Amino acid sequence: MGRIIFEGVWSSLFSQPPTCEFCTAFVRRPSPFAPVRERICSTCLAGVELISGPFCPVCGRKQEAGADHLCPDCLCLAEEERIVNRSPVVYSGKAKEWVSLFKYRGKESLATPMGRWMAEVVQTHFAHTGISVITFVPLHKEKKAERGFNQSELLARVIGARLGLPVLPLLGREKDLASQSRRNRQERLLALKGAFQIEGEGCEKCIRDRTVLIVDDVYTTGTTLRECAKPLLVSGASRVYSVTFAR
Amino acid sequence: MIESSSIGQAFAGNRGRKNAFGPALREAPMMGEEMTAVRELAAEIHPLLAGRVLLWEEVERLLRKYEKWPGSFLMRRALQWLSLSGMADIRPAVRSAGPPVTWKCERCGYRGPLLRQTPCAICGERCVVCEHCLLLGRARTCFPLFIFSPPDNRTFAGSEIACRTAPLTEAQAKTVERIRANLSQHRQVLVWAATGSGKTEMMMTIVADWLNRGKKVLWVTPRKDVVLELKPRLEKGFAGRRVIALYGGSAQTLETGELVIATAHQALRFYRSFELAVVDEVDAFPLYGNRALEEGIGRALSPGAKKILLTATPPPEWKALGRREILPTVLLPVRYHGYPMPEPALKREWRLWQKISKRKPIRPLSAFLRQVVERKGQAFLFVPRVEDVSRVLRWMKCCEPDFYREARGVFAGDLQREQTVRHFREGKWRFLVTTTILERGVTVPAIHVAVIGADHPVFTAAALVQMAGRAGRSSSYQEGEVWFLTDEKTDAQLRAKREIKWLNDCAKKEGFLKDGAYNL
Repeated sequence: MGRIIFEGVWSSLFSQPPTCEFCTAFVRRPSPFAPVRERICSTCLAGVELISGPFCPVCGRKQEAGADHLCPDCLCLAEEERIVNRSPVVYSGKAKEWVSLFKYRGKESLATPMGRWMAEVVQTHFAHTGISVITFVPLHKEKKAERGFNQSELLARVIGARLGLPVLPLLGREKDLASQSRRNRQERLLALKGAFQIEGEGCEKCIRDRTVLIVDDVYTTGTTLRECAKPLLVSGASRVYSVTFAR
Repeated sequence: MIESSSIGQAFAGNRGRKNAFGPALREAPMMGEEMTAVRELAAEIHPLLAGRVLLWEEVERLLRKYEKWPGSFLMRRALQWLSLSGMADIRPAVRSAGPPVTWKCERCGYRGPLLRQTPCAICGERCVVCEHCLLLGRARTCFPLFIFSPPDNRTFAGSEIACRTAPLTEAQAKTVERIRANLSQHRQVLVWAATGSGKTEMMMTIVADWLNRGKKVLWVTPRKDVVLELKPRLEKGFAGRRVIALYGGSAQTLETGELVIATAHQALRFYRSFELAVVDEVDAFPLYGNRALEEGIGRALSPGAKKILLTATPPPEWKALGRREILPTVLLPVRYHGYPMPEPALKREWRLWQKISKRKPIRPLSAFLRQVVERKGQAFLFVPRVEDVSRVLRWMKCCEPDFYREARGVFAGDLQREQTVRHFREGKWRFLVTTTILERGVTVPAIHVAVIGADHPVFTAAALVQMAGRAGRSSSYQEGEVWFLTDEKTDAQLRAKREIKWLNDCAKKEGFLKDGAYNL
């Protein structure tokens, strides 16, 4: 008993330094307002590619220095179909590892640093857009029951708490059981047509004349987000933006 | 996932009610033929599952692997049969019935803040998930964990197979005798053997005793690299035995054999299966001080099993236990080739890190590099932090450009880590700047060691002894030197130095020591 009390007192007086948010390495104690990239260890930070500098003004893809136009994928889209998206990191290296650890291995605690990082991106890029409600890409019911959680929902909850905005499950998913990540580009475009719809009856009120932010984990082709935006825009949302962890 | 099935009911009953299997028994009773079929199935799959601790999905994967998967309906019934007849125990994978301090992951035995309560779409409630053993597969409160009792007859039939190892030296043979004597009386023995004393060969001799008696052996090491290095050696030594290597990503994860080499986490999947455990590098991360993993190894051993704790640097409290004769300890202070261990030299350099950052000349470091080249050796340059690897390399580029061309850096998260280390072993590079990842288990013949910034707190006395122990491991190259470059003397450095000296003195007293290059 004495030993337990002693250890408690000792560790509160001389506490261990905090660990990196993504791995177990110790880091220097960050200031309370430090952004996420200053809270992670140097190895993790070296393993991700931050999206800073020139990026596509629509989808937020990282571009080579000097480029200030749309990326080729966005140029192919009709203007009314384009959804403005921002992400903190490129989907490669460590970011890929984290997403699979989070989504497939089920390390739900990663939602906190990932969500906070995304909230920082929302604050920098969407500060003056007047976002009033956050929603997330839904999972099919069976898929959710299999995985146990909806990764986008967890991220959206963290972002909502951080920004003080309501998080509402506005969308439902009827079609599409198979995973999007196993399809190629053409199949993805086709498989998702009309896969999402507004769920519930009271939702219309929350959407009409409001700016909605959609949250997802990874932006690959953007089809999912565009399909999600369609029913929202049809129901009268004034504008739709999106944020994903990786691009 | 498993609601409204016989196993789900058994599980629900087990979770809360006094009459544990009440609801399961109230289900429409199995009659005649079905009953016989289930009983036969249970008898058929039990030998495959015996002595394992598995989650539902692991049971499925294992049976699919042996092409015995009967479909989930029949499987549930068979598992229920095993449970009711006492051959399997069903528990929630995480025990979270009481207040949070009593929560515990039943699979890895972990208690603490990594058990997190989250809303769960599988059971529709808030249940607890264990993030400590997540990489072995998710364990949640609403998942059942099956603990299958070991087979009654734990020994395997087989002829005696002689163990093929290098012949033991006199000192090693003596130590083996002492370990045998201790094991016959005690449950566990601490073997304190100096770095490079041939621990693996000695252990193989003892493991051979157990295998020849038909008893299964578990060999636990802290790291995957070591498992991969040990496997070919043990396979060669025990030709004709089934040697299984278990580590994260191994293709053999669900198999079992006569001799199992595993990382500590993989040992969590066994239940009372082994009669002897050899725990290598007990004082290293992640084993030391991790009660969950320690309990896991305990669970993998059968009740009367023996345990050998193997280390070159026992922590002080274990030495104290040894002195009070609570923990029987066997000491082997001499290396297999009989030469003493090189004693480290302390070189103090004022403002070492500032000089490295500003690329100012550092005389001892330059002298060290030059001497390595003169003596035709290779060198490890240990640094405390990952970012120091590139700092030291930049210093070399500026101040010692000739040596820089022969230098490379390596750290834990490095993508080319394995390749760089392999090239270094082949002699492609002369200098390797590294963090503590190469502190243990690496043998390169003509090596010198410099610890740069030896006063940093990551370099504990044990780590320093291990790093110093990289030098002079080959009998043909006895010129390796160990230098600690440091701002100031720290307790750890002095203790490391004292310990190496003490071991050399012990060896001398027992008359094992040859006169070597260091006995000046």
